[in-house]
Amino acid sequence: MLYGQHNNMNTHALEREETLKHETTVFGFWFYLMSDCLVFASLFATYVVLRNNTFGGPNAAELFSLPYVLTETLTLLTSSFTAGLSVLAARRNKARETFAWLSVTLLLGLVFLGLEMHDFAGLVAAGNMPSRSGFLSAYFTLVGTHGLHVALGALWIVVLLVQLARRGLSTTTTRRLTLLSLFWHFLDIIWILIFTIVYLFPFL
Amino acid sequence: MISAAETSTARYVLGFLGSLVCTFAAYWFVVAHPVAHNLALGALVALALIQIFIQLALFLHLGDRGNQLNQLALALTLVIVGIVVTGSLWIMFNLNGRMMPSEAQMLQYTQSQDSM
Repeated sequence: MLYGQHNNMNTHALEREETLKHETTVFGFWFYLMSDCLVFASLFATYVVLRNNTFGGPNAAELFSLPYVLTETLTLLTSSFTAGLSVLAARRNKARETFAWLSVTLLLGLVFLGLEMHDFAGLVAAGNMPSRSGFLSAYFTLVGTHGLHVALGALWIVVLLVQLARRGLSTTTTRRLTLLSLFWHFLDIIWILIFTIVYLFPFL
Repeated sequence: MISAAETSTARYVLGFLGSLVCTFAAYWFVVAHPVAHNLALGALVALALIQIFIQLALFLHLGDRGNQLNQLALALTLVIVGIVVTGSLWIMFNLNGRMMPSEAQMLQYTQSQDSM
């Protein structure tokens, strides 16, 4: 009886420790995201300064297509939503649903990357590479850095899907899923700013 | 940051719909040109900020209790971002205004000096 009670207390202590570990890790990851904000802030400032330095080359309004960018935006936004649904399913302990929504997120992330790569390839093929002008250097650096984040996030999702398939919803995989969803939502928030500043402003 | 109690799908659906409305509204301002340039610029900034706020609250659950430290970290980050961005723009546009004049302006200046 006493032993049982003691054991029970230990379990509680372990649970508390686990919760604390979860919260500390999430907070640490949040700090990383905040430092990443500073990286993007510098790149946005650089872009705004250089946006008119086209060196006789094409400017933003001549290069970008609004419907194409809207498609990219909606793809990434939807993937942010499905990443949230995946976390929700994990909270409800539904492993299959978690896996399914995370797969949809990966798929949409890859579609987004495909659209972006196609866009970049078209620009470079037309001679509008980063070395063409200050504007294009800043554009490729800003949007490319975001794209690189999305690509790393996609790789992260692949690893997580493998872990989910092999271990199911453990404390560890759920924590990693939470961090991934934070990262993915963060990237969509950065994209709102890219959509507005880089793509919409030149057409006003 | 997502507490165990917060498992409602409604928040995510609401966040998604809100973000969609903001995105399409911003797009409409640019495509349809319903208002003057400066007003549309203000509208785009406002819509972007509203959408960021929606996603912070409904996707990242930043408004929930127990997230004070995260909010504090975000506030500090925004202060630094503000300094970096406004500082950079201020300095660079100021420098731009003091840049060497164009060749045509230089020629005009030297000619005016010669004739004196």
